[in-house]
Amino acid sequence: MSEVLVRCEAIAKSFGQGALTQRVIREATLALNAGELTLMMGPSGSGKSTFLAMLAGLMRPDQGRVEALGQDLWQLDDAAIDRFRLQHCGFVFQGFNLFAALTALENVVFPLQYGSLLGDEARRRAHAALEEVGLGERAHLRPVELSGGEKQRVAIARALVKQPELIFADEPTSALDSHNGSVVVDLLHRIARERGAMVLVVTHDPRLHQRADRLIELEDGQIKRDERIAQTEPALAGEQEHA
Amino acid sequence: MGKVSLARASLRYEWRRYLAAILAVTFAGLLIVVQVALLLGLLGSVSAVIDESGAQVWIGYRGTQSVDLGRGIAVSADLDARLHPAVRRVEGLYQGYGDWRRDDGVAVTAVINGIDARPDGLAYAHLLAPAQRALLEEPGAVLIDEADRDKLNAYIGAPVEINGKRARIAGFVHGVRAVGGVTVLMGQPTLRYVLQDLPDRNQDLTYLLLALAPGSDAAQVAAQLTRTDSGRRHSLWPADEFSLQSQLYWLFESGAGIGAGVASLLGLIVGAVITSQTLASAILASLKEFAAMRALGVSRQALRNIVLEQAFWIGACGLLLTALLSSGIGLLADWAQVPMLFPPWLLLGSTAIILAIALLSGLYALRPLYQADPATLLR
Ligand SMILES: Nc1ncnc2c1ncn2[C@@H]1O[C@H](COP(=O)(O)OP(=O)(O)O)[C@@H](O)[C@H]1O
Ligand SMILES: [Mg+2]
Repeated sequence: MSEVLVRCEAIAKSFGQGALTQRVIREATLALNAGELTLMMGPSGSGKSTFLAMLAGLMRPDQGRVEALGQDLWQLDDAAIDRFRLQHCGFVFQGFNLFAALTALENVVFPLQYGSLLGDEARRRAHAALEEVGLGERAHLRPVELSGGEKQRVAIARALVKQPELIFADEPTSALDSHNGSVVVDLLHRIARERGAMVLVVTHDPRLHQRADRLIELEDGQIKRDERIAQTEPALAGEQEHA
Repeated sequence: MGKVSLARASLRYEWRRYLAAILAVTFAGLLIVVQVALLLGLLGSVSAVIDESGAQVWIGYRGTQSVDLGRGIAVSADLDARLHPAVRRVEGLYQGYGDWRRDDGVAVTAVINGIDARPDGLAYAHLLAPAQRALLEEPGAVLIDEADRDKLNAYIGAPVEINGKRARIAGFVHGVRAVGGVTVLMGQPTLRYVLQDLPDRNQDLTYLLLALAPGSDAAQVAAQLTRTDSGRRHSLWPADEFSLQSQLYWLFESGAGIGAGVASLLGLIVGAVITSQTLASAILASLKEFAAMRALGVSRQALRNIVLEQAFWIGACGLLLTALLSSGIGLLADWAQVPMLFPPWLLLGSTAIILAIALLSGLYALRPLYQADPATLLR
C-alpha cells in the first residue's frame, strides 16, 4: 500500500447565498496516494474543478480539512499557502498559460526563479524537464511557434521542473486532439510512477480512463465511484504510438 | 546566463504595445528638458552682463528688479564704496537703450553697454579677450554679438549709426545676445560721443561694479555698504544674488516660467496616464499567465515587482530617447545660435522626475493584477 500524500475529510463547498445557494461539493472524503495518477471524472458542472482547487490550496473549503504532506493546509495563512504551492505543487491547466514573450525554456525557468533554484542550475533543470517531455530540441522556441500539444508539454515541464510531490491537472487534454491528449496523460502517468508523485487529473474526457491507476467519479457533489484500474498501460501506450 | 526577466522580455517582444507609453514618457521628458533649457538660455542672456563680469558687488538704482531694468544713478554713488577697506576697484557701467540704424536705414533698438575697456576692467572681464578690449579704446568702435550679425547686415568695419552718430563694427563676441534688442558693447570714448546729444547728459552711469580684495565676503560687504549714506539711496547686491534675482524676475514676470511649468505638468500627466493604461492593458492581456504563476506559488508581491520593473524600463527607454532628442535639439539650437543651457541639475532632476512618474504609473496600473486568481483558470 503506497503512502498517502493528500487527504481530505468531509470537505464541502457552496456558491451563492440564500435560496440561490448551490452546494457543489457535499462532505467528500478522499485519500490520494504517491506514485499514482488518479483520474477524477464526471459531467460538466459536477464540481471537479472546485474539488481540485480545494485540495491544491487554491480555494478555501467551507468546511472539512485538507491534509497535504502532513500539513493541515487550510490552517496556514495565505502567504504560507503560497509558499506551500511554490515548494510542493505543480499545475497544468486547460489553457497552457505560457508567456508569449518567453521561449519554452524561459517559461520553464521563470517560476523556478521564485524558489531556491537560481542561475545556471535553474536552466539546466529546465532543460532536463523539457527533454523529459520530449521538447529538448524546441526549447528555444516561443509559444506561437509551438503546436497545442507542444505547448501543453511545456506547461507540464514547467509544472514538474521543481520536482513537486503533488501535481494537479485540470482538463489538461480538453484543448488537444486525442493523440496529443494521450501523450500528455501518459507523460503525467510516467511522472507519477518514476517520481512517486501524486498526480490528480480532472477531466470529463472518457477516452482517458484506461490510462490511470485509479478512477474517481463525481456526481452531485459526491464521490459516486472510486476504483482501481487494472494495469494494461504499456500495451495500450504501444498501440497508441502506431495510431 | 542571467536571470529571465519577464519585464524586459515582454518589452522586447511586444515593443509595439509599449511604444506609445515610451513615446509619451519621451514627450514628457522633452517638454521638461527643452523648455527649461530654453528658459535657462533666455534667462542666462539676461544676466550675462553680471555673470561675465569680474565684479563681486553691484550698486544700482534703488529697487531695480532685473539688471536689464537699471536706471541712471548719480556719479557720487561711489563715494562710500571707495572708502570701504575691502573694495579694490570701483568701475562704472552704462546700460541704456539706443537707436541703431542699419546701412539700409532700418532702425533697430540697441542695448548699449558702455564699459570700462581698460585691460583690468571688470565689465565683461570673462567675455572679452585683451585684444577685444583694446579695440574698444578706439573712438567709434563697437562690438556686437555674432548672433546679431545677420539681423544687422554686419561685418567688421561696417559703418553704423547709433543715436545719429557714426560708429563702426570693430568685431564680434559670443554670449551677449539680448532677448529684446541688439546688445552693443562700447568703450568710454564711443559712449561719450553716442550719448552727447541726449537731453540728460549726466545720465551716463547705470551701475557701479565693485571688485573686492581676495577672501572678502561679498554679501557682508554689500550689507555694510547698504548702511552707508549713499548705500541707503541705492540698491546693493552680491553679483550672484543679482544674477539670480534678474533671472527669477523674468521667469515669473514674463509668465514664461509658469507657461513652461504648466506645459511640463501636462506632459507629465499625459505620460503617466498613457503609461499606466499601457501597463494595465498588458497585465490584462497576460492575466491567465499571471494567474498560473499565482497557482505555482509566485507571490502577488513578486508579480507586482514585474509590473514595476516594466514601468522602470519604460521610463528608462523614454529617458534614453529624451537624451538623444534633447542632444539633437541642443545641437540644432547651437547651430541657430539660440541659447540653451543644460546644467547637471536639470539632467539629474528630469531623470528623477521621469523615473518617478513611470514608477507611479506602474503602481497605479497594478489594480488588474488582483484579478489574477488561479481559480479562474479552472473550468
Ligand atoms: N466561483 C464560483 N462562483 C459561483 N459558482 C461557481 C464558481 N465556481 C464554480 N461554480 C459553480 O459550481 C459548479 C461546479 O463547477 P466546477 O467545479 O467548475 O465543475 P466542473 O469542473 O466539474 O465542470 C458549477 O455549477 C459552477 O457554475
Ligand atoms: Mg472543470
